[in-house]
Amino acid sequence: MDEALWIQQARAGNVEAFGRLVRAYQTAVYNLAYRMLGNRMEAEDAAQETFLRAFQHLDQYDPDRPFRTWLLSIAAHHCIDRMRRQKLTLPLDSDHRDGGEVDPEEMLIRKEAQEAVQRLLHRLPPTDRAVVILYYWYGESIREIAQTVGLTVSAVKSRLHRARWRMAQGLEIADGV
Amino acid sequence: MECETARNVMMEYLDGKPVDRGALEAHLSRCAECREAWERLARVEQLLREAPTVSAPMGFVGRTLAHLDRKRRIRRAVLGGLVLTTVAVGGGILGLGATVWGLSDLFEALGPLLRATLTLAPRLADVARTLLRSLCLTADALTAWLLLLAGCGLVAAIGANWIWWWVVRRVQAATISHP
Repeated sequence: MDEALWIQQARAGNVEAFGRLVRAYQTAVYNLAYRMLGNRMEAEDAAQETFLRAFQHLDQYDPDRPFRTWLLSIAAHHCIDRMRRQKLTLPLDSDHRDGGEVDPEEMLIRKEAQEAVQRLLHRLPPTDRAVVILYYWYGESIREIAQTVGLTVSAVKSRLHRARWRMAQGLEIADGV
Repeated sequence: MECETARNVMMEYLDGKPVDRGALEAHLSRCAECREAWERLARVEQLLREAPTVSAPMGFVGRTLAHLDRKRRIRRAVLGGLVLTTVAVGGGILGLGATVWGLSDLFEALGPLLRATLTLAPRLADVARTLLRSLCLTADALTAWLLLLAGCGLVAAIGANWIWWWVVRRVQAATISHP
């Protein structure tokens, strides 16, 4: 994957090269948006907006930083702003399909687990939610998350711990475990 | 181990740091409250670790690029409109000013020349002089009004462009929210 070349061409206004970047990172950005917003339509809208902003601000991208981290940073900030504007009133999707052939019982278990995960995430304030998603889905270290969301390392750590406790309490209420 | 220490150790463990698991388990075997908290934390951890990455829907790349193309075209149209209007109005003002001032100067310069050539017909010269003077006065008086009018036109053009740009953005936002 000649990512550096695509970035260079996209910077010069080449939409086709930018399309390759969109293709390469669509799932990473969409998953973040979906986990943040819990709603497919909103997630697609937010993911598209992330790519548009990335295209408009490619000149601000520092090539010494991983492109994915930069992109996820735009996505996380956009989703946090969006959630604040909408005051966390988005309805959760209950029928998200991941594709693939699985038997109905397995599908039901997966669906329940998915819904439980989204309910837990929904209990968290926007920034804490972003921290949890970047930690668990993207395997970012506390230090990387601090860079991505623009917080100090200790702030990220305390938000992650607070979020875990909050979700654990939520699990007791929502899932009776 | 105290409960508070045990809870800190739980977090360190979940962070992937090395902890004294034996001491934690010894505390959990004695403290039902911490044990329950640990079970809930472990369940949350399992749910999060097992949650899949959700793929982007079919056609996402095409829709995103079409959206990008639409946005670029709108931006180009708005910018083009702004530049054209500004150039047109600015050019109009300059042209108008130059014409009015030019006419005024021409009439002023022509006055003495005509007066000299019309010495044989003083009455006609007087009439011509009066006519020229009134033309000059009219041009001078009109200058301020025409300039004021052109200024209002400029402000109106910029205002109209700004409103147009705002409407385009609103329509675009509505389109994005409800594709």
